[in-house]
Amino acid sequence: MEEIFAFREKLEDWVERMLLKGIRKFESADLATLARLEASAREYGMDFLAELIARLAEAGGHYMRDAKAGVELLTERYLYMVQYVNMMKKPLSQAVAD
Amino acid sequence: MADFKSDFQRWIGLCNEEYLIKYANKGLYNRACKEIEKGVTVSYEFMDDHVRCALSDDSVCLLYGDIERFSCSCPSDKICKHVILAIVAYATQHQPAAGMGDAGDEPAVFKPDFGWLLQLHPSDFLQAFTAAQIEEVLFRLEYGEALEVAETSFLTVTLQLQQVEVSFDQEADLSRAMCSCKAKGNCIHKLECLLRYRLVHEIDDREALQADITDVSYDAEVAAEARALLAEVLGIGLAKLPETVCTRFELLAIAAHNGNLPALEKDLRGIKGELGLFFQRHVKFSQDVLLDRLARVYLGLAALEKSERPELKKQLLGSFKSKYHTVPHLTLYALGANPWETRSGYKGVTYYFFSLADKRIYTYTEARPVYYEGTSFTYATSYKSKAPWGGLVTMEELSHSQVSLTSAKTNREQRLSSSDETKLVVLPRENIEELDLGETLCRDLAERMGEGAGVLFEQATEHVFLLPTKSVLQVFYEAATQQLIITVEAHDGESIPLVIPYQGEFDKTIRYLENNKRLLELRDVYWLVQVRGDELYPISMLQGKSLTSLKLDL
Repeated sequence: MEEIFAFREKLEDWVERMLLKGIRKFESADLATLARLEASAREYGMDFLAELIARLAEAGGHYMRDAKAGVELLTERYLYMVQYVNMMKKPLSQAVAD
Repeated sequence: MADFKSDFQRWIGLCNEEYLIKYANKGLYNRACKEIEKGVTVSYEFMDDHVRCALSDDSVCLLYGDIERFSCSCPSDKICKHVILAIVAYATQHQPAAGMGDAGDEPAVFKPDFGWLLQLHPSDFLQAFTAAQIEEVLFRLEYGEALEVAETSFLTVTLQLQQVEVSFDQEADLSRAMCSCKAKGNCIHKLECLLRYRLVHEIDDREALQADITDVSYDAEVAAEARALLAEVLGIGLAKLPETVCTRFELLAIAAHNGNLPALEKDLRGIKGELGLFFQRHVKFSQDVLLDRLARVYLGLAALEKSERPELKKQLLGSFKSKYHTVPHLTLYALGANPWETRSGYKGVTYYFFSLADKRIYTYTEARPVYYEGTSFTYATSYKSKAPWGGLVTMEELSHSQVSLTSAKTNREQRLSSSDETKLVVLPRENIEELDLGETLCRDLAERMGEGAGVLFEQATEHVFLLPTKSVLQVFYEAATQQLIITVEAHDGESIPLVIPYQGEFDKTIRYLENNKRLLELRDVYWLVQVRGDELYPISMLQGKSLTSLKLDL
């Protein structure tokens, strides 16, 4: 349970860091972070989340090749992940409290 | 001509006493009958499309086989004694002839056919009634009404609670229907009777009408601009965002208001407020809240662009201030009152009622803004003030009673309005244990805790229900969290904590509850509780006919 909690914190950290620095500053370091997050998600059997992260990373890669065309897709996929992270918070906090 | 004659005779069959009185009046009908008794006779001459009726008193009238088309040599421009006389005399002369086998003659006893009422299409209603009328009637259909249908020469539908009756003619024409409210044109009762009559015959027009009157047009340019602005904020990042962005959000919020995007207007202001807190480095600023809002609004706009179904669009667009509609009759059982204060500077008391007919909770709220200097609002004075709806009782008395309201106005969230038209009658109060509380009574707490979170893209609604309990296990004040915790035992033995957060204003109440041993002696009490997040806040306790609102009665 603690590992998942730590994983969730890592996800939140990355999401919040992006909010501060801006999606347009997406860089190769972010790609590496996302790859690690995706691997952890797969490890915990969170396949849907892993899929979301993979698609976000894919959009990130696309954006780094063509900034103009890719920003909209990147924003949308980033927000899908934001919503998933928000959704995770509630049941997890309840489970931890129990 | 043979056609006209048989049409005419069919029509005469319809013209019985009730029919003629409805179209003319009783006095005219009686006078016409008296004239016949006195010996006035009529001779009939059939033309292509009318009958020339020559009366023995020298007046002449023409009949066209339709009660609304006639002419008479007398000066009256409305239906007159002579016309009625001509009709009645023809009917009496020809009735015995019916069944004699006169070739081509229809029998004079004719059963009218009202099938057209069931064959109408929802689009016919849209032409005959305004969108506002349809909206109001759709709202009223959610409430029960005692319906009486009588078929004579007319099909008369009576709404007994409202004491209104509407008579439909056999002619397929809504404008010929007559309503006892005597309003000109197509009144709301006609539509209500019609829809209720069709519902009885298992024709449900509600969905089709709702879809037709729902206005889902919006300014797509504003929506696109808002999405672009959100993308820009996310793209630049908070660290480098200029403060002028707040003005852009405000301007867009105004544009959203004019572009029929109420939900977007509210959200843009919310984001602006949150960004304002960020720029002030305010302690209340939360990245979580901001990010959640940005995601919800951005993806909501994307969904709006893609959605086709009007009901989905409606949900995404949101609605401006909700409309209040009149409900003929409500019987309300008071459940208690709850004082509250918001961060945005409003104070008020919300009163909760259980409606016996539709088994839902209704609320009435009295609230004042207190952010202006010099505005004073105290819960106690508000609680002791006169209730609306006739002012017979105080709010305090109202919150402990059982009342009947006629012509109450309420909206889709079951909030009651203080309308002057509403009349209140106090009824003897029943025992809470004897009421059928329906879904208002909590049977499965776990299930209840999950409710009220709101549909995707919609704001969460306030969620209140009645919790039956066996006893009170423990009452203690938790200093760390500054809240009073009342642990109650449910009927299945589960212990449930009810929480009252400390507020200076209710210091005495909280102390009283903490130290009062009698609370622990309570058995089989119903608690009115409000769900907020994971916690249950008690509002009042009910047992038998008695009720105690925790923050106002102790």
